[in-house]
Amino acid sequence: MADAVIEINELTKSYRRGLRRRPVFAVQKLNMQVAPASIVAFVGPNGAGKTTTIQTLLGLLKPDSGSVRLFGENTHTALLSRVGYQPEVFHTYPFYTANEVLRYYGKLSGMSSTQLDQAIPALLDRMGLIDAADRKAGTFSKGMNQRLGLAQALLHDPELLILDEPTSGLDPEGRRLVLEIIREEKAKGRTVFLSSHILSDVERTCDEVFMIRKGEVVYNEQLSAFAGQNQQWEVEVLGWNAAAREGLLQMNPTFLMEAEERAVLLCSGESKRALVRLLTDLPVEIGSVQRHRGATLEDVYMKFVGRG
Amino acid sequence: MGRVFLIARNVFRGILHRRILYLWIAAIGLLILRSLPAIFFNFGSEALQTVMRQRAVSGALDTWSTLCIALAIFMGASAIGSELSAKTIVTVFARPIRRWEFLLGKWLGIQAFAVLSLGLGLLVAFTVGSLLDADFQYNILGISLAQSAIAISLYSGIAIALSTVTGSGLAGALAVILAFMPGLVTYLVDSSNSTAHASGLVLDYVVPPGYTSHYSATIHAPIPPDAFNIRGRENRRGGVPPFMAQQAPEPDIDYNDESWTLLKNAGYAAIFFVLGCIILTRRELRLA
Repeated sequence: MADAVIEINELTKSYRRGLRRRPVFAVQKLNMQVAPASIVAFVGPNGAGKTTTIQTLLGLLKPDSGSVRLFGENTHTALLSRVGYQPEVFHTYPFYTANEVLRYYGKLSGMSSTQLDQAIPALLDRMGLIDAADRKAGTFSKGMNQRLGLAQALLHDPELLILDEPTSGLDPEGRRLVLEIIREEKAKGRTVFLSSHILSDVERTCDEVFMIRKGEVVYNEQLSAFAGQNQQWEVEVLGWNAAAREGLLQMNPTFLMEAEERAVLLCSGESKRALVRLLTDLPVEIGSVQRHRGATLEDVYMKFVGRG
Repeated sequence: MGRVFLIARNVFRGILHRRILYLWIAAIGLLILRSLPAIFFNFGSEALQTVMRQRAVSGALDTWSTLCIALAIFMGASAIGSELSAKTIVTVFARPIRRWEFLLGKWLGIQAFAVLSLGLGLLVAFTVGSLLDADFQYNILGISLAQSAIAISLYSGIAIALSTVTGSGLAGALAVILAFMPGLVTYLVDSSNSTAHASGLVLDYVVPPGYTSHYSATIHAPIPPDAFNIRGRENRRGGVPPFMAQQAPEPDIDYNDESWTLLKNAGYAAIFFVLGCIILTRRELRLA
C-alpha cells in the first residue's frame, strides 16, 4: 500500500512474567497497513494485544522484532505532533479544569496561546463540555472524562487519530456524538485507527476491520463487504405446495428454507416486487417480507475471535 | 524549553494539590514546639532570654532547611512513580515531548518548590530575627543557603534518577541513605583497616560530598558573661557555664573549601540527573 499512514511489519512483542521470566507473547508477527483518510477498526478480546500494539505505535514500548512506521517513518518524538491519542480511560491531572487540561496538552503539542484560545472553547462546545470548562477534571463523570479525552486527542488537529475504546462508558447521546466526530474527521481527510469492542459502532463507522486474537491478525476485511449482504430480502410463504413451487420456477428463486406448508425465499431488492406480485396470484399466503440478515461483523467475530 | 517550563509548572501545581501545605503546617508546628522553651521559658535574665530566642531562630532555620531537602527527596522519588500509577504519563508521552525534557521539567519544578519553601522560611526567620535584634552573619547565611539550594538540587536529582529504575519508596530510601553516606565514607577512608580504607576510597567517588549545615552560626548570639548572675547571686565559678559555652562555638568556615564542595555537589547532581535521563529514554513505559 503506497503512503500508508500506519505500517506494521512482522511486529512481535513479548513480556517476561513469573519467577523464571518466561516470555509471554502479547503480539506475534503482526502485519497491518492503514490507508490515509480511512477509519480502521482494531477489534479483539481483552488481552489480544490491541493496547500493546497501540503503545508500540506511540513509542511507549519497543518491539522485540519487526517494525512500526507512522507516515512512512520509524516512530520518533517529532512525529507524535501529527498523532492524536485517546486512551481507553483518560487519566489526567485532577487539579486542572477542563480548560486547563486542554491548554496543557495543547502546549505540549506545540500549539500557541492564540491557537488554543480559538480551539479550546469550540472543542469544548462540540464535546458538550462548555458548561464544565472551569470545573476541575477530578470531579468529572466517566462519560465527561471520555469526552475530554477525545477533545485532547483532537485539539491539535492531528492527521492520525488513535482511539482506544472511545465510546466505552458513554451514554447513547455521547456515543452518537463520538461516532459523528469520527466520521467528520474522516471527511476532513484524517485517518482514524479505532480500537473497539462495540461491533455495532465498528459496523456503522469503519471502512476496514482488523480482528486480532492472541497477538495475531486473524481476519481483515473491508466493511463494505458486510453492507452488500443487507440488500437481500427474505419472503416467507405460508401454505406452500407443489403448485406454488411450479409457479415460481420461472423466477428460479433461492430457498433459505423449504418445508411442508412453509417456505422462505431469498431475493434481491430488484426482484422483490416481482416475486411478491407472482405469489399473490398463487394459492399461497405471504407470511412476511423482511430484510435478510446476512453474516454480521458479530458472526465473523465469533467465528474468528470468539471462544466458540 | 517551553515544554520543560510547562512540566515544571505542572509539578508545582501538583505539589500544592497533594496537600503538601498541610505537611508544611505540621512542620511549622514542629518548629514552634521546638522553639517553645526559648519563647516561653523564663531564663531570669532579659539578655539571656533574647540570646536563647535568637538561637531558636537560627536553629529553626536549620531544621527548616533539612525539611526542604527531605521534601525535595520525597517529591523527586515519586516523580515518575506518581505519573505511572496515575497513568497520566501515557497521554503526556503521546505528545512530541522528549523524555529528558519531561524529567528536566519535573526536576526544575521540584527544586523551585523546595527553594521557594526555603525562601519563605528565611523570610520568617528574618522577620522574627529583626524583631529580636538578631545580628545576622550574612556571609555564613549566604554559604548556608547555597549549601541548602545545592543539596535540594542534588538529592532531588538523585531521587528522580532512582525513580526511573525503581519504585518511589525504594528511590526515596536510597536517596536518604546516600544523604547519610558522607559520614560513613569519611570514617572508612580514615580507617586503619586496609579493606575498609579501600572501600572508603571507592565510595568516595560514588557518594557526593553532601550537605553541611552552618545555620546555627547565622545569628551571632553569644551567651552574655553575666547571664547566670540570677537575682544577684554570682555564678560560683563566674561567667558562662562550660556546657552553655560549647553550644555555639564560633564557626571556622573555609569558604574556598565550601565553594569546592558546592561545585562537587552540583556536578554530582548533574551526573545523576543525566543518568536518569538516559535510563528513562531507553526504558519502556508499560502500564497495567
